[in-house]
Amino acid sequence: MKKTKWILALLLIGLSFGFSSCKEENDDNNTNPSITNVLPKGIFVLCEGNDGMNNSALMHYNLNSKEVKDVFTEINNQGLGDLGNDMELYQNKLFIAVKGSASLNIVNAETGKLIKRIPVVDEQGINRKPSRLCQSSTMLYLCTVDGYVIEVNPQTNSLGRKVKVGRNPEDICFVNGKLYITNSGGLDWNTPIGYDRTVSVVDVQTMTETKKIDVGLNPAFIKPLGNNLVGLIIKGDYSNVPNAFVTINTLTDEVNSSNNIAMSNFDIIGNQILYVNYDYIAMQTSIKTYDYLNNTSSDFIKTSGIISQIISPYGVNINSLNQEVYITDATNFSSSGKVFVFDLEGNFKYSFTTFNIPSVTLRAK
Amino acid sequence: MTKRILSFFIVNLFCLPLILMAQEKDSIKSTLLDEIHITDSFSKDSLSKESVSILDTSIIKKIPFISVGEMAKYIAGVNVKDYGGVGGLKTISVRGLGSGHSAVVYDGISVTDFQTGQVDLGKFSSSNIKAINLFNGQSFSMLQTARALAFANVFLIETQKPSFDSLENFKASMKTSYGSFNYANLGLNASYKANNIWTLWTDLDIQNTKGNYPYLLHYGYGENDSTSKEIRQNSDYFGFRGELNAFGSFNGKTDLKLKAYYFYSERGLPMSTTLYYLKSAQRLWDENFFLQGIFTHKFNNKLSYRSHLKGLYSYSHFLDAASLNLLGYQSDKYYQREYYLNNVVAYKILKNLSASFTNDIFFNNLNTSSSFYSKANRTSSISALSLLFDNSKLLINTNILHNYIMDYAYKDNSQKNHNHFSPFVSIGYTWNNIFSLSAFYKDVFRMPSFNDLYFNRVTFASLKPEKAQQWNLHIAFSKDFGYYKSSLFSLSVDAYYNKVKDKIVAVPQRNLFVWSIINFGQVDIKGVDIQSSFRTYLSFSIDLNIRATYSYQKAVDVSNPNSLSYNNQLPYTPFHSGSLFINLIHPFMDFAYTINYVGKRFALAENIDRNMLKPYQDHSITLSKNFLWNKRKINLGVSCINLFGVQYEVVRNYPMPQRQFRINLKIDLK
Repeated sequence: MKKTKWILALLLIGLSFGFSSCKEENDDNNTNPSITNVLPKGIFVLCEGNDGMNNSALMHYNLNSKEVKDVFTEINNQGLGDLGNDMELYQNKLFIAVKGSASLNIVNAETGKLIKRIPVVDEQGINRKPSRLCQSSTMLYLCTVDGYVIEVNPQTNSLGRKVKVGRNPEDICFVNGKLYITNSGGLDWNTPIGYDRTVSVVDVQTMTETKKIDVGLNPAFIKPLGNNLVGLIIKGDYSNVPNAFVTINTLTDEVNSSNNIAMSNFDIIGNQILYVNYDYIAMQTSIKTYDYLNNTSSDFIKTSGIISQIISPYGVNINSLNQEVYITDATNFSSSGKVFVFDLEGNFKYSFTTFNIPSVTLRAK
Repeated sequence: MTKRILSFFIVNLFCLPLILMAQEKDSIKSTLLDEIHITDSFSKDSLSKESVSILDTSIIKKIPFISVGEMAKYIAGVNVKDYGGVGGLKTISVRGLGSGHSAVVYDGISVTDFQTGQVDLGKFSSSNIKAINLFNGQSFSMLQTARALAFANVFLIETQKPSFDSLENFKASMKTSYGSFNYANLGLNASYKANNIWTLWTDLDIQNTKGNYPYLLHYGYGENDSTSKEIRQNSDYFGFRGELNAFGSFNGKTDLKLKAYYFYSERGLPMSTTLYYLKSAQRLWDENFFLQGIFTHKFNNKLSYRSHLKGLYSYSHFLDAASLNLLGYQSDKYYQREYYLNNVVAYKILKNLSASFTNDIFFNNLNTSSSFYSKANRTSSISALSLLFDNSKLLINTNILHNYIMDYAYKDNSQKNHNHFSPFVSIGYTWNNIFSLSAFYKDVFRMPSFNDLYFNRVTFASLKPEKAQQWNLHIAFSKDFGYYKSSLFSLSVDAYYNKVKDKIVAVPQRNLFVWSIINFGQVDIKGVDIQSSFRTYLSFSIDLNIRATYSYQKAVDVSNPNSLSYNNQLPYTPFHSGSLFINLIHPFMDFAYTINYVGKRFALAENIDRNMLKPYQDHSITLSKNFLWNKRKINLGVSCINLFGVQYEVVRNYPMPQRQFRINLKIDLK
């Protein structure tokens, strides 16, 4: 009887150590040759990742081997951070704004090596939340959620002058010596002040805001269209005020909005725009070209059976040099995403899987 | 690896000398308050036909838990989502069902938060806790509230009640502990037996910590990725709890329990550890006040009546002092109220058969400082008719429960009604008092919380309640192996299958800013819970108490076959988890050792390596000693929590504290 007691006691202890043996499972993954080599020819994809998860990533798609790698982490032995919001290629450098991590990363586009990480914080050390970037021939410009535009000098890899613009800038573009910044006011959405409805115009010579143009409720992505026009998305308030596409004549600053097309992102394709949208209520994906001068639109994708594979179209980037169109699919926003590649006519070429929420896709030479 | 060998070695080291011993001695008993348990078949014996898991005084008193949230980690089937530190939110999810499916009952009446639908168990400090019981399905008690029958499981928190011997009528004790990261706790308890009818007691508790614990920040999940040593910032916590209780027992037929409860806390919200930016300026204030009363009257041997009453006021204030909005800060205040009334009657129809009818009517209201959101009211009525047959061998318990809910949103003057019938049935049988087998089926639903319904950019008034069905098989074995001293071994195994339909999930609508709350998900959950305990008396006046739990859960998302997460384990649900508690009690010293093990989990719905959270083991050790000083009973204890200094995360990017020390002192003042 006494023995039974001890057998039982040891059995119980054994039981609990039984499950500790399931501990070691994934100890590989450290086959990480310290790569200082030049990256193979490929495509860079910035994956935004999920809020608070530190899973933003700069991915590289190898055009020869078709391999997709979290290139930034592999080469630098550290993650990109939380919420990579935008990426610009300037000469041989990638400039990556990481919103949650309060930083602007400058990465060598040939090797993937981090050149410099610049903290984007205010005088009190509070995160300004760097959001979107654009470039002129000599400079880059970064807009931050706390309402500023900051000059980034790509020669010295440092931040320069800054100018206060409107509430919670959403996007920025450069046309004819001027910056156009969309002020969303998105952080005041649940207050009586509500969303903003302006675009700030900044003169880059003096780095001063010259005017604010009323464009409509909750402006978002903005891009130069050519012919002295910029185009932007009005997001509305997601219930009563609808989505729209608006153009501004940069010579007269005249606003033209003549449609209520629902779109979440766009890029320029010739004299038209290519836009993407997912309507959750109608459960419908739209990927269309839109002729903003004649107000006509048509489906972009020519290859059948492709549009049904794209669950939540998110980013759209057009590379006119290589004649490629990249449309990213954020799937359910918390799982792996995909990049779909097309030619300029909308014929499907290939696709590849990325980390969560791929947004900006670009190809280095 | 070395840690595992070491831990195995330590446990065996302490067990080794015991193999040489035999048995002796019995424990002391004290008289408890004479509460009425009429049709209550609430026998917490180890051969229960209820699927129940209990953590009682014999365990709670041995380990310096800070809150009920930490205790819950030692209950099979419970998965505690812990954001780390004293102030970090601690909610439970039982058997793969969301936290909204658990009723948390504090001394007889449910604790509610209609805003979020979940209860933070970190708010319940451990100093006055006597026991926690988790009933899967429900308890078979015939005199309980309908709300305790309406959930998938019931998490009962019982507080300490005073007991007096015949000579004394006043008692007081003080508890204090001090530990790493400036943790300090002071508790005062006083009880007074006014006369043969009334007993009064009060319990006060203050907790304070800076929470500035060190942790290792990983910059990637690979072995070569860099790390840095950091200190958790803005993780301070201050909490005060005060309770006043009265118990009146009138001629053994009528009794009345009254409680006034007040809780206040202020804490920093340290946020997730964002790489390259670790600042947070968010704070949270909480205040809860409630009055509750339970009145019981036994008319005769057949008919008894009980009533539960509660009034609650709660306030919470969230502040982000570094918001980038126009004001430069975000300040949200929420006020909740609840008025609650329950009536229950139980009638003994035959010797072994009783019936009961219980009804709850309650009103909940949520108000906020922001004019943008809607104020909301909810009026609910839950009724249940139960039958219990129990001849001590065969037990059949069944009830039909009806839920009626009426929501009113002020913003659009909309009114919505919900009706739902839920059946429950359980059958069990006991053989020779050593083995029992039972099974239950239960159908439940959970209403969307006020946050789900009204506190979004877009209101989702068409949201339906989430439905869950549970099937459970419970086997219990219990045997005393002792001759003249007890040496009790018990084992229970539960196998279950749960199915969730119309799961309430948040999905992005047009972009990441606007999320829709929809009825989308379907979840299939299969699992096994094993718990076992062994108590015996050894030689050299040593008592041994061992308790072990193990849980296996496979909770998979079966919502959409085309989704990448189809058939994948739900986020933050470990496949394997378990705990071990070993206690050696000797008049000279008391030794307790605990292990809490949680296997691999995933932080997001897709079960891939980069979403994986590594398994961890948290070992703790406590040595304590009772002695007399100036005729006062004193208990002094020292503990080391997370003995091996393991750096782990329960929630991704919310690091848990590494090794901590604590010293505890309890003095009986009178």
